[in-house]
Amino acid sequence: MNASQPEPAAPMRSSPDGLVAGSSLWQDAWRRLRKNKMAVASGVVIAVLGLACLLGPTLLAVAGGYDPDAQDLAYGPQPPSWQHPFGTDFYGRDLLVRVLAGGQVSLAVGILAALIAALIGTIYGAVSSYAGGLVDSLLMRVVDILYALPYMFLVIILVTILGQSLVLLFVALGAVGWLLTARVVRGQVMSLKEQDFVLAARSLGTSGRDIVFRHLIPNTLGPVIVTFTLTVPSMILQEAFLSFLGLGVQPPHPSLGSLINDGANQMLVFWWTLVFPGGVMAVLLFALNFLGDGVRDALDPRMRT
Amino acid sequence: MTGYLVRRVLELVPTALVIIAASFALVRLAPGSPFSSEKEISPEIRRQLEAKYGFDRPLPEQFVRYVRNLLQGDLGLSTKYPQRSVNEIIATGFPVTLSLAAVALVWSLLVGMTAGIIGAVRQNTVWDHSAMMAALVGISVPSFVLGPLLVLLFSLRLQMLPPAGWGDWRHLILPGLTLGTIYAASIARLTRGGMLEVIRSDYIRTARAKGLAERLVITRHMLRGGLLPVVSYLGPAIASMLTGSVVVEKIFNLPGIGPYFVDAAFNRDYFLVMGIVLLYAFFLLLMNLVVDLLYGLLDPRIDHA
Amino acid sequence: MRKLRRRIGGSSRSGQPAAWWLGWLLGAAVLVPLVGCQNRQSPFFGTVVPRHGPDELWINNSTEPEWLDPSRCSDSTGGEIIWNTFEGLVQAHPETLAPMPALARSWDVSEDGRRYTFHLRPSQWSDGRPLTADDFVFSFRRLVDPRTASKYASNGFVFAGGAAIGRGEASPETLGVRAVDDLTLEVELVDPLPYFLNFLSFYSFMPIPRHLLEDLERRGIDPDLWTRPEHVVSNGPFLMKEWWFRQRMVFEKNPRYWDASSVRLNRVRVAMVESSTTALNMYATGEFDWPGGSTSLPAEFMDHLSGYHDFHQHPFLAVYFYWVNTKEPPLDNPLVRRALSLAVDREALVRHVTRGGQIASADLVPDGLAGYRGLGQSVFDPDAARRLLAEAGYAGGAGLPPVSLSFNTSEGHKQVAEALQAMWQQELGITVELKNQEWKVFLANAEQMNFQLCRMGWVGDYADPYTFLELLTSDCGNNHSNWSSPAYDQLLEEANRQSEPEKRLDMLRQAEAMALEAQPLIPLYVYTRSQLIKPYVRGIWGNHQDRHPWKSIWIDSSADRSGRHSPTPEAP
Repeated sequence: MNASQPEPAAPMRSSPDGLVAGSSLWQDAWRRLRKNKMAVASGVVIAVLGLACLLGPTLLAVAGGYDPDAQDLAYGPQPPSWQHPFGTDFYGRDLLVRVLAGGQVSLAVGILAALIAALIGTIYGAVSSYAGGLVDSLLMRVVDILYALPYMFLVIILVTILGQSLVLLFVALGAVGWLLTARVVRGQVMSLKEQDFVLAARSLGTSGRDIVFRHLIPNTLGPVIVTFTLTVPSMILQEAFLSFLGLGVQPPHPSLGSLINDGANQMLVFWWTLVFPGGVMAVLLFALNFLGDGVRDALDPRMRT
Repeated sequence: MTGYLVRRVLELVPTALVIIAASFALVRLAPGSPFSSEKEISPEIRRQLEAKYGFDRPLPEQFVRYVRNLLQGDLGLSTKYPQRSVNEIIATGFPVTLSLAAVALVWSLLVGMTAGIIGAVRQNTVWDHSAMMAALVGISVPSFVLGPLLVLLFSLRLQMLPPAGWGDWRHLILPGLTLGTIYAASIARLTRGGMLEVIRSDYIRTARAKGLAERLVITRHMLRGGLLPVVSYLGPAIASMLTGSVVVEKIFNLPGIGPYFVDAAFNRDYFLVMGIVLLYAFFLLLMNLVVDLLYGLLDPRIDHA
Repeated sequence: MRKLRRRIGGSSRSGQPAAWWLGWLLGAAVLVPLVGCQNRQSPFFGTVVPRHGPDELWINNSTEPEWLDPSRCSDSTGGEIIWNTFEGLVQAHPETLAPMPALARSWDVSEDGRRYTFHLRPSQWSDGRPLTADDFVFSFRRLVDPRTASKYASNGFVFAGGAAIGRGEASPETLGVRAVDDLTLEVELVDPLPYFLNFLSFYSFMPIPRHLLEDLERRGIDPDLWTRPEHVVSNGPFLMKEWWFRQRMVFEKNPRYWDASSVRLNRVRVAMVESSTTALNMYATGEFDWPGGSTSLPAEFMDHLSGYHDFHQHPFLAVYFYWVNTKEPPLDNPLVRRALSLAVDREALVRHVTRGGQIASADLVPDGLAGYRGLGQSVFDPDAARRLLAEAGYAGGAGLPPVSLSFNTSEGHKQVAEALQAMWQQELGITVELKNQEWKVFLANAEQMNFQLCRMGWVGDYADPYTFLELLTSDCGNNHSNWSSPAYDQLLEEANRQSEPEKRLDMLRQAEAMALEAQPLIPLYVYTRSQLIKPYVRGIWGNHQDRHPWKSIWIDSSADRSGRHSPTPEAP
């Protein structure tokens, strides 16, 4: 009987402290987010950049025959011109199309790795907290231990063990990056699980799995989204650091991180190879950070006006 | 309070053991051998080398032996630097990293907190925006770009400071700034956020209502509240500063311990990797303990009794 | 209890014109090129005034050496130090590398070229103890003794009985090395190797102070630590005084060196800076007089740096090539392998990618090495390549599975690999997957033949074609091609027994042609060394083994600071 019992996934009962809220919270948040000009502007910038990265390489290939991997060794590195607005790199490849293609990879790495991190972290944190007692303290000790291992050491070992491919890079970054989410979610669930609607569900005999996945996790989405928006830029930076070590995306495919690393090596002689990828990365990180701040403020009930 | 402290310290023991086991297993899982090199070495010589380090024994036995030596303070021998023990390598590198961490910490606190306070007190003014913008720049510029830029400006153009190397205090300025800036940026945002949170609280309103001078309100009350998030951030931040920065120490060629996190893992220098990972874990656990204790002092709402 | 919130960042709810922060970006964009433009007035890169006295030299040796023990050292950074702190039987001329007398005043060679008798000059260790032929016997035995676990033990296999000792089948005492008396040393070789004297100047063959090692053992100190400055005893032109781990070493002139009167420097400061960009910066500010032989300059800077008068370039005895795993389809087909080689535009590669004046070459042995006339094939013939590929059944690359190319993480290897990937795609329609591997993973994969194409650079240990040709012999552990040919092995063996040099070189040439016909590797170019040397530093010669003994270097404070100089005034 319990499974068929229609229980609103996002309970409409809004509690006074605002920790549990219904769809009105999302509507409120959306309204507040829209009023935040900075966040809206950032959202637009991200959308434009994302679209440019997604479609740009294809469009440029069709329209102008630009190929991110086509080399012209004799042409070599040339400063910006009308034909190559961002200049060309060491192999005579057009930098604009490489930056766009690299942005594609970086955005994908950032978002996918952050998604993996959010997914693992949310489930882990919720289960740990809901189970409570010995299981909770054991699971949380695991988090402490992983937290005490140097982050980069873990990623490097994971990348060496798993081998270097784009997909494994997401996995390695995500698999190490979920700790913060797990902690946040656990804290959130701690206070949620004593709430009326959870007690009610339990008294109706709802299974533990259903409670965790249908009642607890949906209600932690706010903080998870906030953590997520702040994890994306940090994952993009992590990929850049891995590129610095030569463990990032494999050539000839560019990522913003590997382009910036190449540029940093050459900035004394070919300044444009650093300035353009670096500029795009900065704009992207700016926008992601502002949007993250905006989302956090919008979801923070105490900011309600 | 003492009871709490004893309990916390006792809890660290199993954590530490698992950390040792986990990092031991991880390092050994990575493919490759510490003795492989471009030129082939004969099986007989490989056998001799493995026997010297005890790598010819079964893994569990090696682990037990490692832990036993560890308890006596012996971290083992390096395979990459066969004439040095890991103890000696860490002992020679640590003072360098420590000095770098000191400069970076002072710089990041000085700049970060100043910017954060300005941002909070002059909220939504040009001051606030420039401070936060600078913080975002600090967060989004990777140190492998910032470092070379500083060298270019201060060493090659202005010829004020040495470009790299280790000797006197002048060698610490540029690496300190490079390393500190990343942390300064985060501290600025945290300080501002923390202060804004208390700015609306009752006790600040009371303090203002009592006619307390604005400067005193800021320094006595708002700063104290604003410090909380900074303190919890500084725990892990100091731990990672104390164990150095791979990028900064490489760019400035400082003989600290930072590069070992990457190099020792790459060289499969098993004992050195373990030593450096344990050092990091030790600082992290220690700093977390310190942070929790400081929290009790700063925030009267928390009671460890 | 109220839940405590840890907030992650500040909030920013206000709007501000987007132009405002674009301004920031533009500012940064302007700043970089502004500070980036180089001061072009000076004909030299950076300062030209020495920051130290005229009897001092500041150089870079890139990284912390593994061993400074001649028997155990296997890296060039350790070799650099050993060459300048120890003295062997013969030394290489700093310009021509021809073997010259060192501790051996003279030597006799037996009729069959397999027995050498060295007559030593009386000399002392730096602690005043006399140096005898016994110290060499001890050193050579120690080199091949498996208990030493030397990665270069095989260097000692030139002596009779060496290989068996190395395999642990015979005692080190059976090595063909004998002290006839205190100042006479007799060695017996496996083959009459024409390059033996040149090879003997290698750092593996320096004497070892047996008395010091025994003394340390008696005092309960680990004798492996004997090269530390607090213990070390050596016999070369310089003595180590300080050794700051991963930082710097300081050397002073050895007053007991037999040729001390010709050593002009009193002090040499050797830093260990790994990053070439950092080393370049330190050179510019005068922290280095010479960033050292083993520091390679980044390709991006070559065009820029080669305009300066303190820039020097010379060929280096090393070949860059790709191993082909000849058991892996489709590379098991020699036609495909040869097509790959023919489709590489090596001239474009060295001109536009490596940029360091490297010599494009499809040969394994560099032309002109010890009188060797190279095969001279540097052919770029994409049409022939396409024909061969069609002949193999893959016309236009159709039906050819993707080929993987492995290289270890490094900017330079990546650049070459990316260029070749594009060439093969363009000329042959072959899809090449690049596999950038971390060093130890790369080595493990090479060892287990777990690759299709993999990059390799081979540095010649001595000036003879055999140092390269040996790579392709069946029992060579460094042969990573899965290719072997008994005919090739036999030809090389016969060549080494041949005592007539001209005939021997002819046979080696035949062997090389035979191997390249099968294309178990794809040679790309011969290395060069590009370096910066301050105009006031004299006595550094460009030679193809990159050996630059400090004993012939001096500081010329009156050096001409306006024009290009050649650091080659007089022979020692």
